[in-house]
Amino acid sequence: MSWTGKGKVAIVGVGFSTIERNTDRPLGRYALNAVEEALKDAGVSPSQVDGLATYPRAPFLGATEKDGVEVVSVEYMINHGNFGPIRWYSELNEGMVTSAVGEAVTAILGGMVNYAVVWRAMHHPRGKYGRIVKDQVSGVGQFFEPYGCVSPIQWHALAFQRYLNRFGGMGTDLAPLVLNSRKNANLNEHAYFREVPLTEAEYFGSRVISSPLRLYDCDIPVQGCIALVLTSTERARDLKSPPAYVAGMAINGVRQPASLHYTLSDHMEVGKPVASQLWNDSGYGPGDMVAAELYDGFAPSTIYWLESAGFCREGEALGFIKGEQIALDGLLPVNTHGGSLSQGRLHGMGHLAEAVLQVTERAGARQTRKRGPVCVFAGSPMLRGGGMVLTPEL
Amino acid sequence: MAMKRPRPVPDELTQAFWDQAQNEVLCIPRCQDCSTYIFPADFECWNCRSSHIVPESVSGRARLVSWTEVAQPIVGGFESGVPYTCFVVELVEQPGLYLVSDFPGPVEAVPGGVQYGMDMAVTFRREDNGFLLPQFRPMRTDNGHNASSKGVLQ
Repeated sequence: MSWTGKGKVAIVGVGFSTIERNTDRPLGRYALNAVEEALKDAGVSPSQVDGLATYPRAPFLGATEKDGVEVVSVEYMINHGNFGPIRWYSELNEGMVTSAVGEAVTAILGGMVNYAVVWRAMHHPRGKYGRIVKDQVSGVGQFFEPYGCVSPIQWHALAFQRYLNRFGGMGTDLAPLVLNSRKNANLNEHAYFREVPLTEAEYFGSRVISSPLRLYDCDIPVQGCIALVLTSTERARDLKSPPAYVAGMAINGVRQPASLHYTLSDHMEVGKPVASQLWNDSGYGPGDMVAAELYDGFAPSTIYWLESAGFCREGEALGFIKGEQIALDGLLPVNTHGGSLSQGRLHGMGHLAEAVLQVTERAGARQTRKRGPVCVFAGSPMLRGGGMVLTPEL
Repeated sequence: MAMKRPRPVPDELTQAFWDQAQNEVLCIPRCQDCSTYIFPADFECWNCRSSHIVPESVSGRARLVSWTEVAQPIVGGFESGVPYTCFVVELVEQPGLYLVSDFPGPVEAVPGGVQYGMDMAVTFRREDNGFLLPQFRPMRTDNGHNASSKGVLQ
């Protein structure tokens, strides 16, 4: 059975703030800029906006969640956005930004909202951060923090080492993916690394952070915001920019009762149900996609999505990314905007925005040859993320 | 300078684990109705919803599932320990029953080397503060090699 909401809501505007690092300028400014740009792109005035949604959480250990500085909440946006009367809003604590977009879609489908704005603002502080020395640890952390196993990169390193143990290969087999993303970012004015190339020698010469992962297997933390405008398909027809129709959306609601599931869960077990829901609901399959924007907070996550979403078989993704298959003119262009690795850590919103631009043929030098549906998967499959399929036509 | 390990703060769910570790016994909560080990501990069995969960001692034997050599000082309090290696082991009692452990030094320094699925055994290491922390180390065969029991891990 396909989803009854298929094609009834569209993303009609995309807006970017500048994407920077180590800045003192308050994050609220970036968010307001991105929202302003998204509304301009859609041709919707702020007074027409009646719905707001975000997933606001700060992306590093030890953040204070200071509103307008480290996070940008719904509260902040209501008070600073000069919108019309807000009829509905949602601020999620679980899932990635795909869940916030999903909230907006259902609010529009339910007739609560005419024009929803969804944003994701990311803070990158000056100086050192994210390293906290603790005397004590309570909760589930007491089973890994005393062993110096605290950082998300370690969890990803453990999961990927297990993957390599099971299927063979080595850490540097990620190189073609990382280099492809940088090439794409070099064509993206909204990428942090828009002007900085990355050579194979630089990749192989980069330092190992937590084996088998190296520096360039990690995303680049940035300060910035991307915003989207959503409305019903009926309203979308009269707007300035071409609509990207929401053909399907799915979240990760898979049971993960075992301990340390983040580090070691079978990516197929957790990723496949999310992808299956997406393919069933949208009526499309992996073979229909003209591009795939696959989360890469750490490069292995893209590998897991390639397999669990069915683009290749389990254990074969390191082979799949070799050669030109994932390049812009390849069979399946992947992370056409540069991904989190090279556009910047925007926690899936960069992937979503790029899917909109690709679907509406506004990706400039990065535009893929074929026109058709594009999928997004946000978050590692082992996380509570989700996916979407966007289409240029109904 | 020694690594600064945060000391676990036991709660009603984890008290038995840490108390028994001080007696050099590895103790994992187990559902008395369906025999599923529940770790980390929970008030309800995730398999059968029973609330009859009691800590039981386990063999302390495990297999090595994964490892990472932490090469950069990315963890607060552990900067001076770099490089060190984190292990994830799976207890032989039940698939998916994972515990974390660490080894001082790079992967290459693990005696006998590391191999996916190799046999590991619990040992209890006394920290500077007197606290005993369970750790896993490779099991050695009589001829000095690391042991690896039959059967492939999935």
